[in-house]
Amino acid sequence: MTMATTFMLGGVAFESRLLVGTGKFSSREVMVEAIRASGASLVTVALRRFNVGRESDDLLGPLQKLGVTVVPNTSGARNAMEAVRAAMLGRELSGSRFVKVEIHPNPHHLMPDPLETYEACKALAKEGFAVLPYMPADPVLAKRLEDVGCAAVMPLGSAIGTGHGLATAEMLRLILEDSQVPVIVDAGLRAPSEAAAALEMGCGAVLVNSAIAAAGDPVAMAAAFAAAVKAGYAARQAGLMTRRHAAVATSPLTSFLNTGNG
Amino acid sequence: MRLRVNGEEHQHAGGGTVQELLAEIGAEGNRVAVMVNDAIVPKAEFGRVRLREGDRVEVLAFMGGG
Repeated sequence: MTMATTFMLGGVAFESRLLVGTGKFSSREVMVEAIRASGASLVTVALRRFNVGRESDDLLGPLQKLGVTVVPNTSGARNAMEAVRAAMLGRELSGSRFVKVEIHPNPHHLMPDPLETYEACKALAKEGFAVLPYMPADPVLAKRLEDVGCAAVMPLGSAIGTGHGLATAEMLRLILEDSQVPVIVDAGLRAPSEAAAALEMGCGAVLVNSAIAAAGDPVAMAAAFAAAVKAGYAARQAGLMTRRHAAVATSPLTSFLNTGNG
Repeated sequence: MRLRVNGEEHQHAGGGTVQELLAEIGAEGNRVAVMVNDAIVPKAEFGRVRLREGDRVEVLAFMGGG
């Protein structure tokens, strides 16, 4: 890991700029192999009631074995109070300061509730959490969340699980212009090219779940996203050329072979 | 002792600590988070906190999520 490629988040240096979610995988084995192939350093999980009487399907053990940082999310919370409680429980279990705040009361579109998200983030940042809020792609809210001490902002590219990619690209650009904390595109990505585009734009990282878990071959897709994120970040560091309206020749326009006057 | 565990009636036959309840329902103590009557019980307290008749116990674990 070199300083040039290190991803600083919440005061911690991470190697990978690809965060992955653990939902929707067909089996525990595929999930573990996909995470390994993704090279992800940060992995999100949900907190749910333990199935009494059912055989233990423990998720924490395999993730700890992979050596990743577990980021509990607050999914299921309908308001700030429930999200704060979920975060506290998640921390108890993960032993990690990182929490993904997600409060989306409407199951139809799963759009984050900006007011409850703001209140939850404010409270959790005060409690010493490294807060990663899933949020609408709103530059004003992004700034407010940064001001209350969030470790990053995580605007959606498009609605969770839809695969519509960077539908919010213009708003993401506005968020990026002003943000002093990393911007992580969370939700909506479908293709590795979209992840590369997010990194080229200046995003610090992307969080991908459905695009990997629901792919034909999740392990291969995880590797493809890892490569795309690296390419996008390298391109950003290299500095993209400026767009122009008029053409600029790449070959010399003088001294043709057939000018006829030589 | 009659408890309410994850929203369902549960007859606890053990010694009455959180740890003994977890063993009874097949939950490993280092893989779950526990709330008793809406208060979080720290992992280190599982062996010490005693449950009482009618307590509402929530036992939570990590599941797949984005």
